[in-house]
Amino acid sequence: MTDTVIEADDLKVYYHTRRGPVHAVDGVSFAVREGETIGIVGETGCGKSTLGKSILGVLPPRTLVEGTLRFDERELTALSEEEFRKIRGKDIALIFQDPVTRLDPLLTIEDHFVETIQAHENVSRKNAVERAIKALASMGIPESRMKHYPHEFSGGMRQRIMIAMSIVMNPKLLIADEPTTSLDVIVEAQILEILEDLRREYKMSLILITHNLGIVAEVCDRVAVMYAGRFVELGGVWDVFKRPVHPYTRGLLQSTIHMESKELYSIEGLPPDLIQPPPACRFHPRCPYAQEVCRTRDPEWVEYRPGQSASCHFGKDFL
Amino acid sequence: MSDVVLEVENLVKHFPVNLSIVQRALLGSVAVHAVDGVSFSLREGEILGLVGESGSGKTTVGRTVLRLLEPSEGVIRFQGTDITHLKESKLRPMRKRMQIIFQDPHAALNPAMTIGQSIADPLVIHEAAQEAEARAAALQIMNEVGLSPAEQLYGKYPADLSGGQKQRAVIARAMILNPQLIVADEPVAMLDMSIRAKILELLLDLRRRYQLAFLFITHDLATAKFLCDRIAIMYLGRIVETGPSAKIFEDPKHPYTRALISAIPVPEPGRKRAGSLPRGEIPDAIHPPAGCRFHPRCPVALPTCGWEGRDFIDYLEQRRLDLDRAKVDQAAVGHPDQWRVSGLQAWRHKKDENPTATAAYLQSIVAQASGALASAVQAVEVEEGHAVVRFRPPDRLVQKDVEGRTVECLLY
Repeated sequence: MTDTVIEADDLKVYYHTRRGPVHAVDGVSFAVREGETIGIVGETGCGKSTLGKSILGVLPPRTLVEGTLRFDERELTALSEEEFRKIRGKDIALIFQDPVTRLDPLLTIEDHFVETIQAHENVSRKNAVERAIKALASMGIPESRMKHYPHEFSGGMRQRIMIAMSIVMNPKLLIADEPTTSLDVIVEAQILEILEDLRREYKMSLILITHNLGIVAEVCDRVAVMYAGRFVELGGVWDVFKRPVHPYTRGLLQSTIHMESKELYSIEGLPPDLIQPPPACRFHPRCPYAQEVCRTRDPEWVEYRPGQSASCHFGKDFL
Repeated sequence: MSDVVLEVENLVKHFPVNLSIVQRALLGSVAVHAVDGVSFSLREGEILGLVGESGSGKTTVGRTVLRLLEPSEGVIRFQGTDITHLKESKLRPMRKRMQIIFQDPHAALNPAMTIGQSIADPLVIHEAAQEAEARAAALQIMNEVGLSPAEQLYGKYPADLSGGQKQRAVIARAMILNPQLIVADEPVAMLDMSIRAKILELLLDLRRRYQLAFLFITHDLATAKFLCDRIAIMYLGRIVETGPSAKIFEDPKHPYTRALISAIPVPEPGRKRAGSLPRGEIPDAIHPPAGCRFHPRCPVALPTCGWEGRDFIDYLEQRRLDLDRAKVDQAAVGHPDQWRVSGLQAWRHKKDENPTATAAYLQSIVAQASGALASAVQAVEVEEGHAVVRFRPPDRLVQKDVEGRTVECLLY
């Protein structure tokens, strides 16, 4: 598998708190292939953003990271801050939910680009500006706005600028954490089209972190469903949406209100406290099918169909 | 029409923009046209969805009808009484009957009050209820909204509750005075998917039990479709389409409604979006576009939809996205910064050596424009040494009945 861009094996990320460690990511394994878009979907507090942050090496100090995270022959968990800085923004880039907080209000858009490019490459300002103009034009932002400041742009424009900035270094891997959550539907759809185009044009791999199943269906090849720090299911988008194995995936799909919803459905109970997660299968307190074994034994990660794996003791019954 | 709870006619709400004396001398008074002539009515037991993107004015409508904001123009009638300019002392007793539920339950509850105190507080304020009495009423309503065991939760603080429970508390607080109208402003937007349905069910249940009228404000069409009897689609301060929810979702008439519906991502892999997306974003409400406010983004706009000088500047900028073409344009008509607009006209402001040649080039790029812009241009001329692009005046936009709904669009 030479075309694997990033591979996580039993990755664990525990935040340090006074009440004890928060098991935000608790044993996650996956691999992202070149040019692939993988969605990571789950509810608030399931650990999906932490997973993204761990790949970028932007976790708070004193956070415990275990397991392996291999990117391009390198072990990310072992990198120093100095080494990480060389990769971040160049080989791995990030698009955040709220671009306004990520752009410096005192710098023009041109300055942002020049700074980003010159941080990684020894090029002239003129050369950097030329590249910036190209990247922005491909995002639908005319060069007449290069000298403008972030506040002079609308939310959708700022997100386009962020995307242009993250692709200007031509990274291998792009991580988008809720990239459209603060945008309106029409602008959201525009941004999703851009992301799709990017993948086609640049062969970039994309990890899309979102709570919105509609977005996953629209742009992702594969999807990982995350619950309480773990993947409960991972597979091709069509398989996972059409033939979900894990009861949580099923519940999540059913509870999503969309244009064709005929009835309302909700999953009973609340997401667990990640300082003291439930034993064995973490979904068992909310699972309508839970049995004794779900409370006592960790479910195994089983490939139920080619490329579609889930961790449920009764996975076979849901095929 | 005794069962009409709320009637709004031609509601206008402008927010003045603070300017310095110099700016005011130059620009005159400037205002954000948040709501610009909105009319609707709401009956007992009805849920009306006010749907729009951020900046459409939907929240302003919700707050203005409750007189949390003062209307600039128009009439608001609540249960037959004109409350548009009613004095606060007269309005106060009526406020019991109209309540609001906010989007963010974490911010809507006082962190220093227990849940029970928060819920009972309106009774203490409006009806000078005794503590025991207020407590009993609060416990009863808590049970009704599913905050149980009520006795146990009464003494808890907001920080001890989940998001869904907090929103139930906010709903309980709105319900305790037995209102006839509730304005619900994005009540489930902050909640996770797996618990949204429960809150929506609760709202439906309350409507059924008390014949409550809801003004449900949302950006989420799917939720609106599920919940609302009627829908009003707002765009930049205007209602562009309104009618029975089933009809609008089945066959939307206004191009904006169509765009909104087709833009929603559907959790259905492999499905491609129907039609092309409108480009750009909702414009600035200080200077809304002329004619139909959606015309600059509309995929099916007509030459008479309100095209004006600044649409041409926008076109010049769009052309420059093609970097080679940008160079040619720059040489022939200059940078868009050198252009000025006024109403239907746009002209190259900078002194021009050969305005006739500029006009000829403009003529040619107008012809290249896609859509209605090309036919909306009435003339490209030379006037006092400047090349001028002049648009034709727009047709008057009126609301029309189209197959059982009201649409504001020249297509009909």
